[in-house]
Amino acid sequence: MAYIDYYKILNVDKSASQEDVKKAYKKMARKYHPDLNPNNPEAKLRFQEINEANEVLSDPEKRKKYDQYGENWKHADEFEAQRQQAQQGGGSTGFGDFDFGGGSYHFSSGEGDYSDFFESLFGSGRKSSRGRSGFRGTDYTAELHLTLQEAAKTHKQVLTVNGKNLRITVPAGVADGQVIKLKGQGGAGTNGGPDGDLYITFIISEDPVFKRVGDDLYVTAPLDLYTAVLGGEKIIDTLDGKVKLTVQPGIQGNSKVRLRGKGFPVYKEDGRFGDLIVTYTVDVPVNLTKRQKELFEELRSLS
Amino acid sequence: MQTDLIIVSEYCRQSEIEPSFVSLLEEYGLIELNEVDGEQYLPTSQLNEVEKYTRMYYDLSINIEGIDAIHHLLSRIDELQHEITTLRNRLRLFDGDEP
Repeated sequence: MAYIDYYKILNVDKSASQEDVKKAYKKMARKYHPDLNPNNPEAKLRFQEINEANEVLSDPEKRKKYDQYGENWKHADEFEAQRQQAQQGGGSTGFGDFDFGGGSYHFSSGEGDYSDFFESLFGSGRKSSRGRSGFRGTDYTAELHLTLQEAAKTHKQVLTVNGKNLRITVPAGVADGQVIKLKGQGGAGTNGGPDGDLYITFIISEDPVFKRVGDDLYVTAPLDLYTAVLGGEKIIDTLDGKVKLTVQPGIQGNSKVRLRGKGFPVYKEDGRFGDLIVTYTVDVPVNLTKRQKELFEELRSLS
Repeated sequence: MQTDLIIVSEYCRQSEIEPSFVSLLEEYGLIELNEVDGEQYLPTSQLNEVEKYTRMYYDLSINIEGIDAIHHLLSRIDELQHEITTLRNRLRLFDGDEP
């Protein structure tokens, strides 16, 4: 846990007035507010930093304490205890062994989203009155990884976000990268502000068989040369089982067949499905026997 | 289909905002209000938007012209993001050998 320079975060001088702090805060907040930077975790983090800096610098008492201890903030409580003991006639306790080592600047993801530094100095934060209605709680983001098959069926999933278990229904047809919002499931609001929201991004893994484009699915069906030339039948995998297709004689490689309604379910439209597009490829036989080669030669001479 | 409506004056009283601000949002085409017997109503489907614009206006001191511009830019970003996702999906079709 490292010391945080709140003045630097708000880009103000140590002698900045309350009015300067307020102006700097608003300017920064306009740049990094989550409403203006949807789905941008970096901006969200910056916004938390700015909020915290404002929380300290706009409150004369907190600012005084912060300025007083500065980089020696880790001594603050010990120093107070020692002073009180000295006043009561007790002996010196000394500072003991304190770690001044660096460490990364880290915001806790717990309630209020204050940094460890802030909570060490001021306790777990509750913002002081700062205006009309305070800020709403932090929005949380989470990722939910699904296979293509899972995304094709409406089902329930349990997500753990900040130690809280949430049971959500995943509607069939969600798209890769799609974000859904669960209102009020984010961080707690401060100073009377509403709770934040939880944004869940669906990540759908690549499927070895099907490729998905919107609601349509693409699948490749390799045909042996003889079926391609003479026609026949081909069993194709679909999402809900197998279908038998009749292959017309003389089918060309790369020919496509569209199976209506055999594709992916359409999001939130029960009973509607995209199409399955089957692309035929033709496998040319290799490692021919002598006899087979002779027959192909014969075919060539006939054509 | 049923639409839930909230009386604008009641909403403003509860959220401590000026009714003129909600009217301004409607005037700029940022939200749509319903009017029944002279009383204005806000569809609940627009609540999120109103809350967002309220934060911009009151917390971030962005005026209505700024909010209007931000609304257009965010919509454009959203469209572009959608286009990127669609193109990325199409590009996948050309990756590898299939289909």
